[in-house]
Amino acid sequence: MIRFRRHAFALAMVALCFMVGARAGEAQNAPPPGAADCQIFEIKASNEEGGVDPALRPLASKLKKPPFSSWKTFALLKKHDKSVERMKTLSIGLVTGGKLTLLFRGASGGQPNKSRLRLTFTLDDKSGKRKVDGTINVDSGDYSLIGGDSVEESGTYFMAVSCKVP
Amino acid sequence: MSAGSKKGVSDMELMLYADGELSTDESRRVAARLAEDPDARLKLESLRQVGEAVRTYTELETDRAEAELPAFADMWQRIERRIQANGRAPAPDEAAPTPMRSKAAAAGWWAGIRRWLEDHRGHVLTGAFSAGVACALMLALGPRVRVVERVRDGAPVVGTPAVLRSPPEVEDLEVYEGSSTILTIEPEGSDDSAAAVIWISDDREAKKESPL
Repeated sequence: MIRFRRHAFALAMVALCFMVGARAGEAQNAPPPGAADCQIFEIKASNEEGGVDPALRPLASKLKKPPFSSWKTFALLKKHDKSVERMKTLSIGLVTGGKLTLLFRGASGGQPNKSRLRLTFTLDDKSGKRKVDGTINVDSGDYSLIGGDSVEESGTYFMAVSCKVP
Repeated sequence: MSAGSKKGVSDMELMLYADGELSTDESRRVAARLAEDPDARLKLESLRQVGEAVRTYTELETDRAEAELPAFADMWQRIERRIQANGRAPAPDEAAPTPMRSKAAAAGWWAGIRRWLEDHRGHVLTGAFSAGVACALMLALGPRVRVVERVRDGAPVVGTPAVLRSPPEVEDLEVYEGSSTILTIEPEGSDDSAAAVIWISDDREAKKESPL
């Protein structure tokens, strides 16, 4: 009887694990937000005089870290504020002549008051040639800093993408 | 003949008779039938031979197990002492370690683990099965994220992550020309946002000055 009870206890634990997993699955499968609000900063980094553009204040602490600590000056070339609908590709023309596409694949409630976003992006150069594509998972409000191209001879171009969901 | 003889002695009765497990009255009745039924006598003899073969095999296996498994020998000796004591508590000298027990004790913690596993095999298997199911569920229901992180000629920025945050993760990345470096910048101070840095280097310009 004791043996049976122990087996029953183990099976109960399995059932509990299943219920917990199912709850987690339900949370993951909850209807995601329909859109994300994204900010895209196009930035030129250089060693000219100037410091950090005030418009880049939200990024200031990150620009003091490697690899950005190699430059002294960060200038905002252009800022885009866009609402990206879920599973609808958003295409943005860049100051370099290239193109950025963003696809908001969805969000999951990763943590209290924080959503985890899944974003796919592509980056084409001005001739339309694909340079990079990828998928990232970030908390709502986190940044993705993508770049490394030379721009205007003396500078390096990169962009900062940050998306939030309600 | 599978269920019983035509003269009323069933196979089950014959088996119980062969093992001496019938009541006195029943034994007398079966014996009387056997005296009249040569087929039943033949079957009884076959049953006894099979039983003897099984007992011999079991004894041989038990002897072998006693020789190979000190824990088993120890357990059997305890059973024997208990039977001889007819239920009374073992005397202090009876409880003293036997040579086999000493041998098992000498084997140390490993022998203890083996003995415990032998005694709890069913529970261990059930526990392992349960853990396997739980892991399978976690894998099946958890986020399917493959993290790619590569650092070249530079160290990733490492900080203490905030308790309630998950760092950015690059699930997949394809660079068509050149190479990429992925870094993570953790939140710091009043800035509670993290950053994933995807730095693309054009191999054709690799000799140019690069921060990475």
